[in-house]
Amino acid sequence: MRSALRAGLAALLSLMAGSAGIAADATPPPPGSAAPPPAAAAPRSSQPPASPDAPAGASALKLEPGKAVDIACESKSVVVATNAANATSGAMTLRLELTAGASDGAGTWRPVAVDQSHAGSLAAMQGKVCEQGCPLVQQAGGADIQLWAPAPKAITALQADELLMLAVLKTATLDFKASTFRGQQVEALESGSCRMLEAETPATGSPK
Amino acid sequence: MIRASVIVFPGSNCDRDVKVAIERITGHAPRMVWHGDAEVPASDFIVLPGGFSYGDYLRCGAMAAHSRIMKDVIAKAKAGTPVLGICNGFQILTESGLLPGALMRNRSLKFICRDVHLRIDGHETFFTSTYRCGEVVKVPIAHAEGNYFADEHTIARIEGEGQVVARYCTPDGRITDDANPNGAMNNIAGISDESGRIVGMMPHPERLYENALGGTDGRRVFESALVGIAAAMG
Repeated sequence: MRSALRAGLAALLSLMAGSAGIAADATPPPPGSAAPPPAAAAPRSSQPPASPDAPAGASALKLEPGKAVDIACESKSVVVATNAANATSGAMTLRLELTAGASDGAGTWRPVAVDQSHAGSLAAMQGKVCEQGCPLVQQAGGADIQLWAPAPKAITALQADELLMLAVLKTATLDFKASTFRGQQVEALESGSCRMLEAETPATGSPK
Repeated sequence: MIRASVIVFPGSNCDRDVKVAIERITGHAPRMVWHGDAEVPASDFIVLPGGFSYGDYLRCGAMAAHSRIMKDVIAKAKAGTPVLGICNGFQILTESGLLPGALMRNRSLKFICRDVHLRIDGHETFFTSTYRCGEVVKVPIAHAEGNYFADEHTIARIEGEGQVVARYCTPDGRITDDANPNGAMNNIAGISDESGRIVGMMPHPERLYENALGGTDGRRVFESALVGIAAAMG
């Protein structure tokens, strides 16, 4: 974002002077086009792409009750509360499972592994809290899955220093965004892309 | 030059305020586009201003959302043109489905017109990129239907995806019920779509963009748009 802002500001003076006329509609191109989107949208579309070795068609995620699914994710995060420039990026693996017999889309998730350097990731930040599983909710239509830590709660109900993480995973694309709040303030922001892992792994161990 | 378009509905009453603000800040007057037109000229961004479009008939923004010009606004928004909805414009954005949720009657059932403090939680949008995350600003509100509501899942989704642009807060940035003027869920004063290019907010940044108006906290909404346009130009 900062680099985009710098680029934008660099062009700003000429723009305001009217000497840098916009020859064509500045409307950003549709998804898939090679042209860059506007700066402000850049952070939201700057998620790292899914791993190139992800099998075709592997991005559609549908959880089935009682069956754990592991997803490998690449993400970028910024811990806003400490230093916005102190962003981390890396890989992590999450395990998702709908509760057997549950018909309301409820289940659990937990971090399985995370790059040591990716300290701002939800897997690292919630590793201890969610070691035994934190709640997830799969939307009735299945469009997204919400991962909570430690448990669903309204932002306005958070006490000072109380942490709440909420991630939204798109089941069609396996893109996700996560927001962490501390005492109602934004603590960290994260976005990334995931792919399903082929084989299930035993549901043991803790985030490394 | 900057090509902004301001949509004018019958009953809009902040369209000229927005026009003047854009002109003063960017140096270029926006086009004023009448609701009965079929097409919005090619634009760098579009503003749906505040007011009482169609006299708030049926529900605030409900008639405007089905006006002739909105078909093209919706098409252009979906194609990527940034759109800012202020107050009644925010209501039109929710009524047209470009933003989730709804704006209900204030919990006090009264029209509220005063300055409020806002905490900018969504600084990654086309219209807020020059604010810092967590920054507290003071901007006027003037509405009777600003009580933001969405179902539980939608609220969780927009919170998780960082689509809450601004919240009503105390002067020191705390999110309290006392600081919430209208009963909005999670003190939400403004939200964006997933891309950050469509933003709706109840407060009026166009009423506080120069010191003669009492402050400049709203100015950066339009400066952010300038930065976004400039960056898109490369």
